[in-house]
Formats: sequence, C-alpha cells, structure tokens
Amino acid sequence: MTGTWEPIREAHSIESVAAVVQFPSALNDAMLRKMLRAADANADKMNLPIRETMTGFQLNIGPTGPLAAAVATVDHAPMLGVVFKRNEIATVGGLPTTVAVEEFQLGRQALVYTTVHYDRWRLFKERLAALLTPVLSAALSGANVAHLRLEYRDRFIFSGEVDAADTADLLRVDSELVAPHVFAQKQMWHSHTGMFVVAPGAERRLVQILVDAQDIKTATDQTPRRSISLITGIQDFFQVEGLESKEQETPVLIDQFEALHRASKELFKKMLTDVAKQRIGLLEEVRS
Amino acid sequence: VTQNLASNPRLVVQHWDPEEAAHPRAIKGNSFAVSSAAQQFVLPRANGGTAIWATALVSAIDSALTATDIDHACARIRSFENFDTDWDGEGAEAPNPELLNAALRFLRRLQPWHPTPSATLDAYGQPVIEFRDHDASFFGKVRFISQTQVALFASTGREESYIEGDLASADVLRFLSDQIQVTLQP
Repeated sequence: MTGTWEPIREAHSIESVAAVVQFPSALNDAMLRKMLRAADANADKMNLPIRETMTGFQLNIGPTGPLAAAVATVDHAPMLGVVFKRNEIATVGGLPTTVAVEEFQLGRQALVYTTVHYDRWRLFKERLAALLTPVLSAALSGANVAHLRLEYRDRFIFSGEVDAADTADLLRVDSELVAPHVFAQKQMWHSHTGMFVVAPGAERRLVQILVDAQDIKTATDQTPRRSISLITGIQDFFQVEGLESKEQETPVLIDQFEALHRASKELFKKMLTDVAKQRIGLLEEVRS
Repeated sequence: VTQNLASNPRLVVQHWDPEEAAHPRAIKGNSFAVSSAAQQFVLPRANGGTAIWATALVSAIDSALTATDIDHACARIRSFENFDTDWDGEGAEAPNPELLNAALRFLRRLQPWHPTPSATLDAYGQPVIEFRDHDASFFGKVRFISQTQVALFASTGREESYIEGDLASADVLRFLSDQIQVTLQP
C-alpha cells in the first residue's frame, strides 16, 4: 500500500500550456485574412506544417485521464477558424496514435496557442512571440485586445493503489486555493476557485484554480490510478474603449504574458507540498 | 446520446465506451468536425470515458474562407482551352495547354485567405493570374512562361518589383509570400 505522486512528465508536471489573445468583438473578413496571411507566411518556418479549417462544430473524443494532445483552454473551446499545427506520434491510453502536439488557432474572436511540449518559460515565450508578433501586429492595425490568458495544465498520477493516494502528500493542506474538504475525500472530487485581483499593466486580473481528482485507466494498465490535474489560468483584462483605453503595442502585450507566467508560478507553488515541489524541481525554478 | 445542437451551445458528456477510447483510430483520430448544417449528432454509447463537444464562439467563418474566387479563376483557365489563334482578333497566339495546366496547378495551391485571384490570357497564349486586395491596395501578377517558370510582378502603389524563375525556387516563393502575400505550402 505504497506509492508516490508522479508528475506526468519526467522533469515537470506540465501537461499542456495555452496562451490566448482575445479581441473585444469579432474581426471582419479583411482583418481575419490579414492575420491568416501573416500566420501562413510564418507557419512553415515555425514547423507548423498542417493547416486545418474548422467551419463547423468540433468534437473532441479521447480516453479518460491524461491526453497527450493539445486541448482547448478553459476559456476557449475549439474555435471556428484556421488551425496551424504539428502532429506527432504519441502514446494515448497506451496506444500509439497521431496527436496534435502544437497548435496555433486563428479565429474571428481570438488567437490561441497551445503546446504539450513545454521545456522552459524562456523558450515558450520566444516561440509564442515568434508566432504572435506578425499576426498580432496585423490585428492591431484595426482591432484591440480585450484580454490575455495564460493557462497551465499540470497533472500528477499516484503510482500506488487508489486507496493509498493521500492528497495531502501532493497539495498543501493549508493552501487557501484548495477546498479543505478534498483532503478527507476518498472518492473523486473537484476544487474550483477564482477571483479578480489587481494587476499592473492591466485593468484587472482573473485568477482561476481548477483542481480535479480522477481515477484513470489506460489500455496497458487496467488498474485504476488516482490522477490530480491542476489548471492555473491567469487572465488580464484591458480597457479597450473610453477615456481609459490605451494604444496597444505587440511587444508590450507579449511581455504581459511574462507577468501572467510569474503570477501563475507563484500560485502553483502555493498549492504544492515541498515534497511535490522538490519532485518537479520547482524549488530549483524549473518553470522559470 | 442524441442532443440538438441548436439548444445546447456547450455539452459535456462523461462516461462513454472505453473500448472506443482505447482505439482512437477506430473513430478517425481524437478530433473531427461536424458540419455546421448538422442539426443533431449522436455520441458514442455512454460507459466510462469522456467526450467533450463544444460550440462556443460560433461566429460564422465561411465568408472569410470561401474559395469561390479560386474556383472562378480555375473555370476561366479551363475556358481558355477552346481558344484558337487570333482569339483576340489582333493576332494573339493560341494558349499552350501545358501552361494552362501549370496555372491550374498553381491555383489549386491557393488558400481562401490569399488575395483574390483572377485569370486572364496574354497575346502570347500565356495564362496570367492577377491578384488584387482592395484593403491592402496592391496588385500582383503571375505569368506562366513554361511548365515550371513564372514571371512575377507586384505593385504596392509606391513601388514595383519583378522576378522571373522556377516556381519551386526559394526566391520566387519568397517573392510570392512577401510581395503578393501568397505563401505556398511546399
């Protein structure tokens, strides 16, 4: 009856990361095409060779538990628009299959970049900037940005029997971001919380912490394992109309993601026990 | 489970057949689109997995992604196949079928968000694809001079530029992307 909480990746627990740029209203055809041309001209260089046009409803189906594929953010379901992406062969539910590991979605209302390949923040930000800069520059010639969102999805899986999984070994019992009832809960549970906070460079900031416990099985391991996923969503809203609105610039907006990242990291650290932080190297600033 | 899309802008169905979850290839990957014209969609039988279907942000995108102009240009190129010598009454050469095919192959590589193409024919029987974009106030032209060679011209109103070469060459592809805003996939 032993086991440990293991992160979904070898060096860290990040299952996927998404960055969202939301416009206050739907862009017109001319603006959308301008953005698409900018993305198109950059896509092959960025190694996103597949273009898919979504003009209908999208249905995502996958096995319970960890999905090694780019997933929609909490804020954004898959959009109608064009997706530039890269597929790789990965193991999902114990079976090799083709999954989208990196996606850049362009729609009338938003730009969404999602990846399951996270190494270091500096590399992520460089790639995000390389993808966003031409597209966002095209968009800002005729539109504003209403909010930016950065969303981390982390996941830990308990290696032992489900009954032996102790949430308190992973999450701090005294964390104000996790509902206290989950520590005595043997069945599956949710702990979702959120708040607005003051943020420099933004009108206001939304913080969302969504923690979920599931029991998962894979095709190769039919023994249920307790899995805990943590979504840390940080979203900065901007005043885009009226006297308080400011002219927006691409580099400034991209730099704002740095602030979202730092806020996200601090919140994440507040939730984890020292043992868990040690396990994923967060004490050594792996996420920096 | 059957749900009406019109009355369910967001639906999360939990617990579906783990047999299908374990065989994503059997359901053609883990993601696919349902036509926007669909009124109903039947989800797999419920029992132990997760299916998520979402229709948030349903702003029609079709108007920005229509390929009608590309189709029209293709049809016009095909119509040139019936042209004879002196088709313009001023001694023009008959179109070269190989060049018409090259122009068609090029048109089929265009994306709906590229500038609007239109097809024409010059006095030497060479097909020409012209690009206009009223919003960007520029004009571009691709002339097919052999099965692989093209001559490109672009004007932004302030400056004009020209290049000639193989359509597969890096220089020509870069010119197309930078000057005419047409990025072709390899």
